[in-house]
Amino acid sequence: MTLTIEIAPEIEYRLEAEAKRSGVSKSDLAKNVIEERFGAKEDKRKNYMPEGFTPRYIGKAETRDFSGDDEWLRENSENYRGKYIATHGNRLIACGDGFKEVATKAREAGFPDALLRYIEPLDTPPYVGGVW
Amino acid sequence: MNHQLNFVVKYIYKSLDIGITLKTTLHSGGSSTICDAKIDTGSEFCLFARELGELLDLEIETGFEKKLITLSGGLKAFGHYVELETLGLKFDSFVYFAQDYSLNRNLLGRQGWLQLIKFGLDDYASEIYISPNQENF
Repeated sequence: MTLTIEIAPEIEYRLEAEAKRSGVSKSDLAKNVIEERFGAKEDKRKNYMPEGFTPRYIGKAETRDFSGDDEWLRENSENYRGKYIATHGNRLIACGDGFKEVATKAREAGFPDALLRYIEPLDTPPYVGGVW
Repeated sequence: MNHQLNFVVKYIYKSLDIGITLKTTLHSGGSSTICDAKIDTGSEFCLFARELGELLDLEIETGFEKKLITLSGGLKAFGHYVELETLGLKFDSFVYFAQDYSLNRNLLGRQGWLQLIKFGLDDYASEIYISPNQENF
């Protein structure tokens, strides 16, 4: 569609100045403004990945059995509320006040694949999630 | 009309845990670390404790910086390339690590994990089902 419109000289002056600043013609700028105002809004999803990077499935992985770790936690968690722990099978490897501390102790003890956990205190408010 | 989906992994989670928690392994370079992480469909991406990134020998602040909003306020995090493994399925991914040390919950969110899988949930039975997305094979 071709549209001819009359605008006040003052508006034309501002349009010209803005077009010059943007490096486009007056008519292109007017077209862009109209399209922005009335064009269909495209819902663009925010991308939190670096440009050009596409996450992908690599394949199946061999994972160690964590049933012992869970059993240990079930039987002992009450004594470690508010603490960070490292377990391996049905065994506590390290306990401390931070992931790094317990991971370091676990690595030194020969368990680089210890499971690191924070045992939440009983009065922890319920988790309701959400980061955006 | 009924719809049927097929999955390669079924997992029964502990219903008494806070949230739905999966053992998650992060790999970077030659290092790896195993932790608990909560499935969070309300989270736009995956977020982990800063210390876990440091255990992978990552320089946290050199990552892709993002300011985040959570239900309890704002925080800053930095994104890094990692291999992320849950329930025996491994992905090339990009996850964020909190700037502050105070974060002690890890989240498996949409970008970086959920969008890479087909995901089924029966919370009443404490069952989850996952498969890698066909597009990612």
